[in-house]
Amino acid sequence: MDPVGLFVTFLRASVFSLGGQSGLPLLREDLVRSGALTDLQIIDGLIIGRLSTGPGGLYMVSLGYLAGGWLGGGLALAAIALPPLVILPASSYLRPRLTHRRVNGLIRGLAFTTSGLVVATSLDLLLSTGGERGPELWQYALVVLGFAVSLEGKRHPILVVLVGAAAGLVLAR
Amino acid sequence: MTDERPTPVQQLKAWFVTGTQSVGGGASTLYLMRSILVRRGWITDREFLQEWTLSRLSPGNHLTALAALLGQRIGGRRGVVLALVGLLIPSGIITIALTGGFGFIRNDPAVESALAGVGPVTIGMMLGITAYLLRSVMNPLSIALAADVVLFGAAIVAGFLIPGATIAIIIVGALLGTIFLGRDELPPETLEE
Repeated sequence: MDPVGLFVTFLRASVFSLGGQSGLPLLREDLVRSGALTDLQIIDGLIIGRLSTGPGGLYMVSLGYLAGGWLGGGLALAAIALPPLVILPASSYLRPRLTHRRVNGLIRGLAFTTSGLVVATSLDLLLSTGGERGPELWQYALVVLGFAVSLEGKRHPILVVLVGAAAGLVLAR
Repeated sequence: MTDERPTPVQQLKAWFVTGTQSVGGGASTLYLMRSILVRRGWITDREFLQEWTLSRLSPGNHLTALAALLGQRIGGRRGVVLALVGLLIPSGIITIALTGGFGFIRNDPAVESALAGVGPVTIGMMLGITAYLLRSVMNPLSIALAADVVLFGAAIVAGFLIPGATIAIIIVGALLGTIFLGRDELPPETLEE
């Protein structure tokens, strides 16, 4: 994929990346179907994104690097930075309207829809991890573990990732 | 809030600390932003809550939008630049370096075995964080909660059945939310993190 195409791909995903992760369905659509990345690389990017610092959503930078090296990573970072700037000129209009029913409904509608799409993509990615056989039982158990620990929000992500790695070393053949 | 405006160097340092010390994104970034900026008296809790709510209307990453809004409030246009540079560039470089390093060990058999466990646990974490963030906009147990759940469930099903229609699904969800899911007041739980 050429640099302009890559930037447009990430910019499009970033615009719809409400909350950090919801650009994932769009990125997977664009990058995997075009052959720029594989599902396995998408999961690698997500892993790096969880281990890295900064606001959520930097898995896009990892995917940018995988698809186009340092330039790809830089383009993805620029694509992350630009769309949120729209809020600055709009803020003086929106600030007094934050308590309006319609605005509240828009925020909630976007949150539920994008979250639902993230769930669908995550489950689809999970099903693709074990090849034709699909994931094994212990891998489903790790999904539940990761879910429970993140929902609680008190454990460091690196600890959870290390538990997953240890389980993989012992159980994967 | 203090009367004295922080210097550009102080602002950049605060954003740099937030960008490099918040691991795992989401809640930890939000926590650091709030604790650093409010503790130093650069903004009040109420201002933080207002900007957080406003950031959720932004396209793109909410935390990046929040950093831009807080940067503007603290230091004007220069504050926006300092916020984005301090928050995103160091963490972007760290992310790229991690990805590059990962490439050297990716095909080692032991690493492949470990990744067979890391992949599923990461997917679980992503689902957990999604649920964690959803809690802040979900209605309490009521008929309204049923409407929230229906839209959420419909988005999951639509994501599976029509995977190439992500943008259309988001637009339809936003419209349905605007029409059916609005509440009159600013929910205080929007900042439960």
